[in-house]
Amino acid sequence: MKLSYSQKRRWSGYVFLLPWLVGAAFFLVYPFVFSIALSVSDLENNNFTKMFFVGLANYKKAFVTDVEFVPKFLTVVTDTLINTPMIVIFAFLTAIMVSRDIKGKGIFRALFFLPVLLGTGFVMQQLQGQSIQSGSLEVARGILLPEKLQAYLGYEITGYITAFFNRITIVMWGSGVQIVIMLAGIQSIAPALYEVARVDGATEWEMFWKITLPMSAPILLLCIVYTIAASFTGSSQVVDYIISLAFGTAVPQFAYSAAMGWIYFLFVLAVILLVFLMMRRPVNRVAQR
Amino acid sequence: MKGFLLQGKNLSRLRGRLKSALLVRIAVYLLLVDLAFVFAYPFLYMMVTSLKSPQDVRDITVNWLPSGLHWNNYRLSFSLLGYPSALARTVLVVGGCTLGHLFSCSFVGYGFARFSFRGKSLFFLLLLLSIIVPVQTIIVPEYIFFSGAGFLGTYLPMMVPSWLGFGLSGGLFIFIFRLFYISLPRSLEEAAGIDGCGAVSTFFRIALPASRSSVMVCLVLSLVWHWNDYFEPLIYITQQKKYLLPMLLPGLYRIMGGMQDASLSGGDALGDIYTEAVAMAATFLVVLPLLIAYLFLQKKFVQGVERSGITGE
Repeated sequence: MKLSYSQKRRWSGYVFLLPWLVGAAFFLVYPFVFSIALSVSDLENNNFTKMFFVGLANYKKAFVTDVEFVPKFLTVVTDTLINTPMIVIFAFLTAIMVSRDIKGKGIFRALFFLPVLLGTGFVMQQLQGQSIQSGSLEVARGILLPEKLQAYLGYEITGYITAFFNRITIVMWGSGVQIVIMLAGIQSIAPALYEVARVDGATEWEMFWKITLPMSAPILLLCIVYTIAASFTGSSQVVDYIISLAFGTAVPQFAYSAAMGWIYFLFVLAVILLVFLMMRRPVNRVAQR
Repeated sequence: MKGFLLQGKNLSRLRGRLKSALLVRIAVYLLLVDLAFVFAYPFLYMMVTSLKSPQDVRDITVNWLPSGLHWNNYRLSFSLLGYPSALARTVLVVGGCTLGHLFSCSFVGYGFARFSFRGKSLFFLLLLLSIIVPVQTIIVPEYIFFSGAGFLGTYLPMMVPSWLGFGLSGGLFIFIFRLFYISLPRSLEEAAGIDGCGAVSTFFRIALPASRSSVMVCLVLSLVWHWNDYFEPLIYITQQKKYLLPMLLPGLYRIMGGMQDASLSGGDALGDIYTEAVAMAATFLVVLPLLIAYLFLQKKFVQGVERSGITGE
């Protein structure tokens, strides 16, 4: 049988997607369908062959009966809502600074990636654990706020300030990947745009608002989505809770755990869709250029 | 018009501009050095703590300068981790996963970028979904699947998904490769096609070698994320003798902390040797291979990011 050129191209597409399609069947579609089914059922003795349909009972349990889920969920949501804009803005500004032609920028760029090497690992969790235990990170204490000043300001205000610096430090450690991605985005903006603006007498300040910021819209979108996804999917109170109910107890609650996982996922999906909608216009403007 | 720029008002304006540029530059440097300290802090903290003697650990006045370099911590943690064999296991598994990611994600990314076929937009939607779905949502069915397949207790639950474009952030890497191949000019590949080169061999001979920059980005990220991951392996592997390096750390911290506290309350003499510092030394040993790899890859990685086309140009 002889295939025409376009037919050949079509079949080649499937050839290239084949490994992924196999993977998608086993690691995406199957788990999705299974966990939806699981989340609306009840298991008898955790035997997966004996599933009973119970409707939305598990979902209701998460919101109505379970006293732990909602507070944990809200903590993660507020943390993400506060941290995401901070990470994105901080990474953007840092990327602009190291994208300038300064001495030692290579060293700075390498340094900013260091926490990523430890980022998902255990040391960072230990360090972040410090802040939960003692109320502040050592790096945020003392160095940024001298003891004399602390004594002068009084306990309450110092508490707020250290909490603020705490968050900033955690934000900084969480922004290594974003800095690298933003750097790539900023450096790909055509230099001609800046030259034209300079000839027309624009200041650095104006060029930032009129060129750098709008031209970075696509990369900002990528970073925001990545940050939200990373913050929700990384280790958090909710995630640890879900896992502990499924794997950490003598009597695993698989069905309930799946239901909470779905509540969590639907929320993440909603937030990300919202971001896409909000960023649609500025991103399209760059794409149409 | 001669000397127009350097006269009177213009001259002073120019001077003012130069001065403010200098001030901005100094401010930027100060800020960068300050930031660099915060970013380097975890590493500095880890290295200093790992060299503290047990007395130093208990002495809260010893902050940045230990009384001496207490290398014994490293000797202890080396044997506690079973370093040589654990390292070999970790290198094999992480290497296998990373290689799988590079192969499968570039291959699939090329398919998404270059061909049009029925169902492509649906598949692309699924790809986006695979990026944002938390592992935790689907871990239970995965576990049941792998236990049914008899993969529990082996490294296959980490390996198999990464060779099929899934696993840790597989979707993100496909996305990065796809953006790169979209921005790559088609002319070379078309020339190869006219010369009778099939699509698959065109990919391996022309497109893949051209995408070195994206390969670097995905190589570093995949390597780092796989090396540090201990969440999934801990679920699938239960035998301690099969543990990978990072999986050993949580237990070590618990035990070391316990011994340290026990000796503080005057109970256990073991706490005179085993302290938090030993756990820190172990942590350093765990990330050391990663550090060395990063030192080698760093320059190419940063260059790669700049040229990878993640920017969608």
